[in-house]
Amino acid sequence: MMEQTQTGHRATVTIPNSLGLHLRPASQLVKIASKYEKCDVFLTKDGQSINAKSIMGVIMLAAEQGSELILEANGEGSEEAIRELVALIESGFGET
Amino acid sequence: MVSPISELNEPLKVEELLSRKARDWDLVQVAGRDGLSNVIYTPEINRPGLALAGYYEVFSAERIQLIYLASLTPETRQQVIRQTFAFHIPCVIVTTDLEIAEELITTCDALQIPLLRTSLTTSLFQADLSHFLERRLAPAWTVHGVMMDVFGMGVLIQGRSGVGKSECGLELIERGHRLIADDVVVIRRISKNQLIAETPPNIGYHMEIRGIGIIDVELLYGVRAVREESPINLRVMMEPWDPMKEYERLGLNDRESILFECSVAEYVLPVEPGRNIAKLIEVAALTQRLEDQGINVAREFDRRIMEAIQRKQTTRRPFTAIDRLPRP
Repeated sequence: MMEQTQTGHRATVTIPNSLGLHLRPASQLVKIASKYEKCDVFLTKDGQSINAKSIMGVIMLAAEQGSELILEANGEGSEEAIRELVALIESGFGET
Repeated sequence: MVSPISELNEPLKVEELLSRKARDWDLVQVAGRDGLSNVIYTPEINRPGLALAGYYEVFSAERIQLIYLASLTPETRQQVIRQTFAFHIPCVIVTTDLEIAEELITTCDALQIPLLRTSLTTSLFQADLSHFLERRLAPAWTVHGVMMDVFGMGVLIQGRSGVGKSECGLELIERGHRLIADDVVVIRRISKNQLIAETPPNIGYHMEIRGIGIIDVELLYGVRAVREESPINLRVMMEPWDPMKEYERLGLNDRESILFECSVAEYVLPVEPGRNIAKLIEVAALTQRLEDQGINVAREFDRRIMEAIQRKQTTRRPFTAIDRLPRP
């Protein structure tokens, strides 16, 4: 479910794949987030928030299967960015 | 544009206290195993004194409680336990290996409050615990950049993506300096005007180098090339050379910038093909080190020049290190 914020959009997602957010999924996520140059994208897990355009940042979260992530995008194209990222995560990054 | 800053608020659970400090502090869990995920929110510690005398109006229940009840009479003890544990307490610690009252153990088990014991004396333990909590619970953020220890000075290198921060970090490592963090830097404000930078969890000393992939700096360069944390002594902003912009040429101006409410010296280094940024960062670190010792070379130099002008004679040796030696 996407909701609108004062500066952009936000959504909460659950990691579906059994290996969690490891290197390959993280790079897929970063690749998409980085497409939105005029938009800041954050990923939050357990109060830790990171820049979703950095592979190392995403890796730092070490998000396991079933963990809840808050996606937030502020700026131009935030709605599209969130929609695309949610779709990627919900697809399980092509993993099981 | 420098990438956005994110907050880092990892909750401190009692289990982390045990896993990190059990050995240093000789901490043993006595009761309340089910409460290990209790969260400690405040760096302050409570030693209930007034509470033991029955005064609970200002009882700071949210803190770790250092208590000793065995010396009380059984009636008083029961009353104190009843009143104290009516509050939501995260953790109870008994110091100096003092005797632990049986009721305390049963109460902590029943209410799922970890009860720990240490052999350290109260004063020693309280000082260590307080120091640990102040650091661990200090406000923290992550920023985008590279953190290096250059000649013992903590340098935070920032600039937009693709400006060459990581390559510059590698060059500094080659030159014998130490990496603290690449890409994600954890910054903690440990006191009013002091920031420290730390290696981020889960990432360690891995770096992402475009065209190559992920490398492990510690594996490639050895243990002398890395460091876990460092104070932040200066900040270097790397930016593409802008011919319209005026860069610092004298060093007479104040370099202060504000980072998380702390003042940090800032050096703006324009990047251009052929400029060896790593070398410039070394010079910036050394210059700042002199500055921190109270020596501003540009101002000293200026003073010399003014003196020479006044005396109407040229000076052969304008200011060298020898001039700073104490004279008899």
